[in-house]
Amino acid sequence: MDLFYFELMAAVVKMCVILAMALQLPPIMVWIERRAGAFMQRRKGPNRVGLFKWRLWGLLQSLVDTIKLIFKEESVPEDADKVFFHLAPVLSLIPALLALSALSFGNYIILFDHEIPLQLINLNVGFLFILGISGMGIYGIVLAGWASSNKFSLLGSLRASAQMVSYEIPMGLSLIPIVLIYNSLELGSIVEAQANTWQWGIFLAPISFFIFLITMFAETNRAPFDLAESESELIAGFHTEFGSSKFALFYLAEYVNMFTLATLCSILFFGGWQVPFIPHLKLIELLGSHNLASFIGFVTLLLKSAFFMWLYVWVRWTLPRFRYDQLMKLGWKFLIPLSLGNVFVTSLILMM
Amino acid sequence: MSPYLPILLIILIALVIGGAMSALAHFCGPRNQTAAKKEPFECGVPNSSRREKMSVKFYLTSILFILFDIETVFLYLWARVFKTLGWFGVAEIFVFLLILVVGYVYVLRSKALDWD
Amino acid sequence: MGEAISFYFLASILTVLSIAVVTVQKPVVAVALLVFNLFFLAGVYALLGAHFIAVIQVIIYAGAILVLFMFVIMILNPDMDLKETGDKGKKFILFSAVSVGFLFFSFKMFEQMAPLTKEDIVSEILEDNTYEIGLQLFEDYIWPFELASLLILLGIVSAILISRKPSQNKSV
Repeated sequence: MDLFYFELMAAVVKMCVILAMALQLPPIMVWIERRAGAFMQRRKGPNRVGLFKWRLWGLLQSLVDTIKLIFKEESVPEDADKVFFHLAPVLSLIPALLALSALSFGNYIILFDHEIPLQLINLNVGFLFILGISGMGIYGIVLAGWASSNKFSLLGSLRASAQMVSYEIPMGLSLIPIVLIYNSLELGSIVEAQANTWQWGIFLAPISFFIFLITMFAETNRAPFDLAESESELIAGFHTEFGSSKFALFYLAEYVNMFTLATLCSILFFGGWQVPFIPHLKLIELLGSHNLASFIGFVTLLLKSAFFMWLYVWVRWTLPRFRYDQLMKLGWKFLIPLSLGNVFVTSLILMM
Repeated sequence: MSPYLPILLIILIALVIGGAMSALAHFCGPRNQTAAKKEPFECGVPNSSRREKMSVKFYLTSILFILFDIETVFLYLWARVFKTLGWFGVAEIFVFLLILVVGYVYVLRSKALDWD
Repeated sequence: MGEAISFYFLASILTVLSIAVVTVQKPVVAVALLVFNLFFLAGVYALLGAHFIAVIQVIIYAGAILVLFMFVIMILNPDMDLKETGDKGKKFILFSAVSVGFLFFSFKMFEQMAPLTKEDIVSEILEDNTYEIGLQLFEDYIWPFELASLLILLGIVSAILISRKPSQNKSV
């Protein structure tokens, strides 16, 4: 078979897997979030919707919600900018999907004597691409707020984007020690360098992890940093005017962004697709099959990111919301000096 | 195959998803627009235009973001060649950061980032 | 072959977008189009093998500088009273005529020139862009690099001076 077509086919298959992962995220996460919230507040949560006599813990609630969203009336405010009102949800979805597909989900698998890396977009600039692309997500939010011609929307979108740009700097700076330690920008080789569990990023760069964890919540506009949609002040922030499927698209983009950062966190700080205490090469030896080892690595990575997704939910129902000045203070006056100091101290320690 | 081809594929797919979702809602949802529905949603507050002057802090935040972002990019370049350069590189970046810390201290002293 | 197709594809998008940026009346729309424009420009860099520059283009230009543009326009909100003036159909025809003409002539111009290959432009396709640029910058161009930090410092100071309230003049 022609190599080009083979690779194209592989890319299309990988893309389908990534899309499947992305599209099932919001339903499952919304269900988990509601159930977890109910559990933590001693309520029942959605537990009714099921199939025939099986209730399935209300798992089908999300499916029903999705159908409901599609059958809702679309309302476009009269003096909204029509083009950008329709375009804004897609503009926030595109960067989210691009960043997700640049993640390294596993080692390569071998099919028909070809090595296929489990990474759709593999540029040699590595995770700089993810940082750059997720920065583009701001425009979806800004244009959504602007296009809906509502002053609360506009204020919400400006707040959201100012927050995102403020936390992008500590996020970028917190990953520099990782580059210093593993001497690479590519996610695949960073994971390979973490074969030994005591070489994981969390042990070698704990302060980086701490900063990254905070910025993770702020970048995705999640509680306790969900100032963008603080419903007590701004109705619902930038998506006040968006209903039905456009609202669903924003939700999709938000959850995809969360998942991307959760996975990035597990790749950079928790060994990615390395099974704890069993280096990948040893795993291949044990199983005797390259593909099976890669698959187990993939599942390991998913479990690790599932933990961080759970952390998002956990934190959301635990911590109260920040005030805007506190948020900016935390970003500019605490995280930036801390991350700059972290970079410098890490480089000094590495040179010793 | 160029590594950039999947980027184009993803962009196309995202456009298709967005278009399909919008089309679905457009054809499946009911349509009975009233004058009240077309107004901006403002929770009972009298309808006002969006001619609203926003705080200049947003401007300041974004311009400082540009400057610190450029700095971050330089740091990434340095981090990549850190092992090759050794102490020389550390000294270079120390001078670079020192000059920037002066600017950062000035930002703090001028209270530009105090949102009140 | 693939490269030529991608280049002409990107070039056409860039041309149309650039003309649109200067012809639309709403400033926010112009900035949004400029974002797309710079994003696709990064594609041209990537086509040349300059992966690092492409990503920097996205991070700095599309991701940071245009956020500033967007913010400034939203803060001032100058387009409130702007209504599209003139005949829409006429404007569309003019716009497409200019774009098509521009595209046509630039493609003709490219045909006239000696066919450029990628090797002509980039003397050697570097596998690890980031590493090579880093070495160059930190070994051969130390002084420009350190001067860049002064430039950033200047930017910080002037940004704060511009946005300062006049009444603060005495206290600071």
